[in-house]
Amino acid sequence: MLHTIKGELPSGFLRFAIRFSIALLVLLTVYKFYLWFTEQKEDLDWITYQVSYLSHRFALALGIADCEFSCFMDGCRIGVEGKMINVLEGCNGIKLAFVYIAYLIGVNENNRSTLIQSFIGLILIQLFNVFRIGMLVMLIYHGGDMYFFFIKYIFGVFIYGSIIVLWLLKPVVDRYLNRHV
Amino acid sequence: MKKIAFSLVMLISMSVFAQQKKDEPIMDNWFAKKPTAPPPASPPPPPNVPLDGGLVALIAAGGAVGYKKYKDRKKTV
Repeated sequence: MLHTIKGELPSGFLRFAIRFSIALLVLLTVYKFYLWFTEQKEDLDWITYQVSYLSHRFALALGIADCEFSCFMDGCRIGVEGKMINVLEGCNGIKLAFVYIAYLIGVNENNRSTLIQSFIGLILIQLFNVFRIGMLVMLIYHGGDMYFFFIKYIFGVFIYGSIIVLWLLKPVVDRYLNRHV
Repeated sequence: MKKIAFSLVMLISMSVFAQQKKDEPIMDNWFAKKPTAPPPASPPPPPNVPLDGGLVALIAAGGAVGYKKYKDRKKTV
């Protein structure tokens, strides 16, 4: 049966699927272990803290002068008193970056290009997340329905769509990196 | 004098018990702790801003993009 399935799949896809799955599993396991370790220390994980801290700085830069920032073991709260948002571990965007990197490892054709793209992708996703949280702090501060509209549709569609577009454009990026780097 | 005092006490106690309803506690629980006003409701916690809600869909999309990539390669070969 496995032989039949293998025969019907495009050549190389099974290899990609296995590499993609294993890479994702390894990244998520290491991350889970890291989270468990920080929990044992009764501390907040470094990634969530940094994303929250930078988002707070961005919110200040957007003009919310009385924006407060406080962190607890499970996450950070950012915003003006009574209009705060809660940045938990699931809000730090690292799992999205892991899926993006796992795909690159899955279709790995050039180690150097994969490494560069993984690094740039990770930084871009985190920067976008900082921008997203900063904007959400501003939107909740000004009130209205825009906050719900942006958190529910705009940011989600943009980040997920961008990752898929980056995957589709990978051959073009590979060619560019091979020529110029 | 003693008789008058005794009859007065009896009268008062009778009138107290006569006003009491069947299931009502004696003396309306005068010495029991009176219920205090409920504490003011705490404000709702701030909303979360999760980003990994569509993680499974993204993994599926990754698989689909990979499938398309290898299928297109098969066509060109």
